[in-house]
Amino acid sequence: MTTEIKRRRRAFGPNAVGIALVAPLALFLLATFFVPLGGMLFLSVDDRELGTVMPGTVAALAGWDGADLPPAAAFEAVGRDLVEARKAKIAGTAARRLGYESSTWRTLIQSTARALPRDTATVTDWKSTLIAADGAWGQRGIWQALANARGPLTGLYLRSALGLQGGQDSALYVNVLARTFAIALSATAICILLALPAASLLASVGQFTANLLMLALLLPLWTSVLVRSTSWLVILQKNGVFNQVLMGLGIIDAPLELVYNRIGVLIALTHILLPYAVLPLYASMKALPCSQMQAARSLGAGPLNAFFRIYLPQIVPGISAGGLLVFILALGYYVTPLLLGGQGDQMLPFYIAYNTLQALNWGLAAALASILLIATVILYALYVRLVGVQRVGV
Amino acid sequence: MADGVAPADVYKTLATKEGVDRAFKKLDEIKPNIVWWSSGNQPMQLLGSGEVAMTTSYNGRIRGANAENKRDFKIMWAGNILNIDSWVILKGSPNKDNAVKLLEYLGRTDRQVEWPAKLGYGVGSVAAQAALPADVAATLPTAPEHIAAGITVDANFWVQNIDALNERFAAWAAK
Repeated sequence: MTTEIKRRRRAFGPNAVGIALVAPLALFLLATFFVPLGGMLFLSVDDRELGTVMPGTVAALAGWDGADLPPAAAFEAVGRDLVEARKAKIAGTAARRLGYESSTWRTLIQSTARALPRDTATVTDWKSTLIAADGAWGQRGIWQALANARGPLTGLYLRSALGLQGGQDSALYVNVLARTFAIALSATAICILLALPAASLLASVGQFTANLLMLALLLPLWTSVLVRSTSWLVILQKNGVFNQVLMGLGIIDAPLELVYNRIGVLIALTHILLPYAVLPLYASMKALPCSQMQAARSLGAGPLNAFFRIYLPQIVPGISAGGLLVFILALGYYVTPLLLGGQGDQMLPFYIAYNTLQALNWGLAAALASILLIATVILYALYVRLVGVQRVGV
Repeated sequence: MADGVAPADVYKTLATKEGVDRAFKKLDEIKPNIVWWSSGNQPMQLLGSGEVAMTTSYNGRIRGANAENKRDFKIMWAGNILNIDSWVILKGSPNKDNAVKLLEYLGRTDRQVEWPAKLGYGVGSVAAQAALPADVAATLPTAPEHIAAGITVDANFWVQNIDALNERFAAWAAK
């Protein structure tokens, strides 16, 4: 019996067993993480929408050099495509896509689709028919827009997200990206500053007290982010617990503005993310024998000197791991700024959700998500280079 | 409307660049005092907790807060915005005939008059509005005097302008 098992194991080899054990997780990750991620990255440059609504136009403009008005065949293709699109009630899709180039074109496509005769057999000269429907067809602008939108790939969404598309409000998403990183960095800094003494206390007390404190630290972690954010709203709002207590004690006369601004977002983010900073710090402090500090002191180092030259360098991996964890988690927070922030404190995830669910501009949403992802990866790489991979601790 | 544009001219004004500039200028004035809300239960919370002194809201929520949470919120109808929801039958729906029958049933005046007592929102037909008891009718956005005091959402205007205005609004709000 045992030899039978041994023989079988030899037949498969230890590698085969290992692969078979890892395969479910690998497949799961592939299906639920890498495929959607790839889809999102692709969506940010995908531009085949116009081709599905106006296939003739896309084909007719393929050879156009853009110098002058396109040939008569292109006018006919646009005319026929728009009549067909109107019959199928999909002209709005083309109008929306061209509206991303300039909002004037959205109106132009819709009004032209309505103005054209439904019976294409009656039309002899498409060029004059189109120009009669709207003079803009006699100018290069709309043709350039059509040519830009003909796909199959576009840089439009990425350009819009990076503020390179022009227009007075083009810097919106660059500012939001900077704000996202600023909020995440502030939250990380506050978390680390608060976590240092907390972790140090945890590492120095007895096992029983440490367990109790650890439970207090972990309990909030097991509560939903939504509940915790809403609780902060209740505590910090104008007539909330915090303001009432301060006013009752006579410390302040008028309620402090603590929510619907940056303060509220940072307070809640810090609270939510604090355990992620404390745990790695605690682990690295726990591994440090306290006799080292005693040795440093007995050899003549002052308390500050001992802390900065002996203690701090050895817990850098813990600080790095905690900081990185908090920072990357903070970048993706959506519900906390939504509940506790003002319009000027919303982070990139808010605008991704807005473009996905409300503006229905999925290309732009995907571009914003891609940029957040890429920016994060670049920052991570820079950080690893600066600190050294073995000291990052993750 | 807050800047003195007559309800009937709101969309005419907003269709011009000057009109949009004027609207944003008015928004600039009140921006420091605005708390934004995104879901329908928030305005009642903000008002109830004293966070804000006045708010925009769906009228049914105000009725709900007054009835269920014993609030005493009042509505100012001047400058109200009337929006009409629609039923949709999807193309190729397997139950199209039944769906049409349902819509016919829901559209009957004797069915329509039951809505306000249950939901607090307006009714979909003039006949139903007229058939309601006077005290109920006067609380609805579809009361003729309330319609006259505000505007009805112009879907065509928004189809044409929503992307450009949304973009500008998002940039303005984020500043």
